Amino acid sequence: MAGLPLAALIGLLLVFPLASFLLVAFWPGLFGQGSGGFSLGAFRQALTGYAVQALGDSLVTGVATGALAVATGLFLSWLTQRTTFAARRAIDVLVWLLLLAPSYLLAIGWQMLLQRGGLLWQSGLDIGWLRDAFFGPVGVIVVLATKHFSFAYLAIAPSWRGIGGELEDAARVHGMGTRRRAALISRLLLPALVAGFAVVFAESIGDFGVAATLGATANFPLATYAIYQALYSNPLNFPLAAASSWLLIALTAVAVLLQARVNARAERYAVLTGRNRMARRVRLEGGTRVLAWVGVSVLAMVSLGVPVLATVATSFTKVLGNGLGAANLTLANYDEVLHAHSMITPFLYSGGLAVAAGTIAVVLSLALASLLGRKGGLARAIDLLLLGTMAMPGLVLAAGYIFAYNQSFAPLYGTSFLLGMAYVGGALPSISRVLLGPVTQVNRNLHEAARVHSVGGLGRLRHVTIPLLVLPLLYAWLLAASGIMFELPASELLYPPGQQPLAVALIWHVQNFDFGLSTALEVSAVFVVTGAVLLVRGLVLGLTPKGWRLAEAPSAGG
Amino acid sequence: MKLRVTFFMSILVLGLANAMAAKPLVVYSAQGYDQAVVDAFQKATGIPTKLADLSTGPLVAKVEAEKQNPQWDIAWFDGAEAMRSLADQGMLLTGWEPNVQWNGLGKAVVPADGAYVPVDVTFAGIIVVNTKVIAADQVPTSWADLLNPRYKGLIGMNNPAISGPTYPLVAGLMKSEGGETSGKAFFQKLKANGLHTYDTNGVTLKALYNGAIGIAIVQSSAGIGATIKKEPVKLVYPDPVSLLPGDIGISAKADPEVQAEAKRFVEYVLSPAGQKVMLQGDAGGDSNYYPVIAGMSANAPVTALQGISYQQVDPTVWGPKEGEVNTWFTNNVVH
Repeated sequence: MAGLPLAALIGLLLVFPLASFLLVAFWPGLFGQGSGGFSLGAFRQALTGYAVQALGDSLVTGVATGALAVATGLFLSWLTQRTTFAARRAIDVLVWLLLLAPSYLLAIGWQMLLQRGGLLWQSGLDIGWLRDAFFGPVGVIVVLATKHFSFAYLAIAPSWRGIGGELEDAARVHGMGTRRRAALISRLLLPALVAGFAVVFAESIGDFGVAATLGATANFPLATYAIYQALYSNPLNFPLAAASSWLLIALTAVAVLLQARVNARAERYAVLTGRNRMARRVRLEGGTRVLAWVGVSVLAMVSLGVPVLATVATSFTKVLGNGLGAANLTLANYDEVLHAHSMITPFLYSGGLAVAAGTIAVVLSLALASLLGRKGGLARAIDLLLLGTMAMPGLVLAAGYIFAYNQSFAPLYGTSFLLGMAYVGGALPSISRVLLGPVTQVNRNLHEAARVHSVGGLGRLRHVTIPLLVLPLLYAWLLAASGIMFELPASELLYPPGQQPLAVALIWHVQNFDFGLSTALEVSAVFVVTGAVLLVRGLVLGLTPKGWRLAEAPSAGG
Repeated sequence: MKLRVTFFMSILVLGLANAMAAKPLVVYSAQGYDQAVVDAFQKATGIPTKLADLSTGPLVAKVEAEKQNPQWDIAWFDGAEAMRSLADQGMLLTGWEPNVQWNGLGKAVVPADGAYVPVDVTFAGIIVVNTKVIAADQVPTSWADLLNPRYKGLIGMNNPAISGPTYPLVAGLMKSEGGETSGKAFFQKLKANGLHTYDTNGVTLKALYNGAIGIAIVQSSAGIGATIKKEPVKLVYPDPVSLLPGDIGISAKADPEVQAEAKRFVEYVLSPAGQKVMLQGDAGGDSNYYPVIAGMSANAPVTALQGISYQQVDPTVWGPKEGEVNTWFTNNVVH
């Protein structure tokens, strides 16, 4: 049915451009850059000196970040799914805001707080050991974990629902102690935990924002940064960048295989019947309640509060070198934003592309998510493709698009259409991942019942999938569209000359060393996009029947 | 199935539309004033001109990735080494020089083979001091001063492997220290004195403003921008600083008539009208350059040339060493 066109589209959006780039690792002369035929020289280079150290650092970072993020996601999902914790909605909001926030912003916020001369220093609270620890592996891992635990949370939360209340009751009736019950539940949650680990692992080894800010200044080289160097600095070394990308994919493959193994073993414990009774929520009392509040508050502060405050503070500062203080506050940067007419055209251009590409990305991701939810070789292969794409910095895919589509047989390079394709391709891995939980939760029985009543494919989509998934789909769309609004690497490399996307226009001011104005522009752009997001959400909620809203945000799917 | 057919149809239609549209002059540029110049050129000549503005690194990567089928006609960025590398690959039109009167700076940076055209000059690295961190009587005055333990952990510069315009600074320092070996020893000592390396001028400057460091080695135009923004800084021009030309290259593969338009673009940029736009287009940053045309003068905030001792770094000598030096720098200084 839908399999063939979907495969063709994935081929055009991901496989063809990625393969074009990755083949350069073996044939340096493939697109005319280098010379000579087949060679493994690039791999030899990628496995020596700086490049191999960066790869090792990335591996360590990915594993540590994955573990930390899964622990955080497990704790938070327990709070929202199994307890009466009052701020459950707030956790969902935090998870979504973090998905939207660019990682470099999170890293920069921390730098501004902790560095010599930073906010703590200025208020006389300089903590030397904390600073030293943060500007190194620890800081990189903490920032990446706070950025990416959202994915772990989204992977784990639906599974709590799969473990129905009957099971816990049965365990209690049979006199199992707390510890054995916990062991049983964690065993049942294991596939979700591993899935969460795999996606955080791939996201963090592919992250460029933190690698470029914290990793680079802390002398802790990461693989994405090494790839950036090979691609963007003279003399360029495309084969080295391609070989390093292969090694990142190999690391991701290990995570995918681990996941497959765990899933195969977990089949024995399969309890997902779709007919589970909700478990009773634990009443949080006394010490546990205090602990939960403190934990969530600290997490919100650490992950989002500090970076946002630091950024907003910069946008209101007159002279950066004069530090914080009433005399150094100004609205001038925002006044300039109001007169920045040059930003309007890029904003509208990116907005149009974000709506179009975001919509296509969500449609394709929905199809991919239902494919990923199945078993078998094809699902595994697509999983590896998507996680592998995630593990590569965005500029690799963008460079691949140049190789693949700057050809006489596919002269798409330099068109808005191709930029839109790159946006769709870049959004697929994370958006399909976000939809995976809710899609697998949609009761299969409903589909079968619909089939029995001879409701066709489109009918099932209209009467089953869309009504049940309207909110997850909406959130996924908002996530895709707002991500595209601020996407930089593909925008920079692929935009048609003369038609600046928003991110390119924004970066111009950063490169102009106008930090006050550039942060004010960023804050305003985020403000406008958030307003649009709320507006769309309100419209959808107002215009769809109430009964469609069974599924909340993807976290609470089903 | 339908979806697929529609998709391929749209590829076909877009491809055709792409091929049939009149070809404008395409400029890839990393300069802050590029949009202003492109707009003014189009207005003055009526030649339709489209700009892709991107940082030097992505710009060169884009040009290299397009090698088989170049979409650009003009490439414009700081640093002769990357231009030289494009020229060595046969990607630049050679043997053409605009008919202009160079001043001393201009003559120093014009390439012998006419493979690209310098249109301005800045200094690859000067010393910018945060006067709130370093007291006025403790400001360093020479490159050697930076090794003084009193500045331990307070100095920052860009990584030449990331920031294109930083390699000429590193090469220049190596040259003035007496060669690559003694230059490397100098950077080792700087590292022992707690040197911080950041990505680009912007990041280094921000660290300086915030007081994370007290001394930044950045491009002169960035340092002058800091004084314009009234940041508490003092600029030092140690002996010697290295010339960093802003160069324009014309694609060797462009059609002859497009190349003729590109030459008109270069001539416009070097004309009094074009220079005026360049001097105003990015007042806080790239506009703070030294002109290369006789009789033109720099913006008022730009430090007078008199008393500054500068040197030219020969791209034909130091260009081929860039890969090796940058790798060494990354492996030995950055980490």
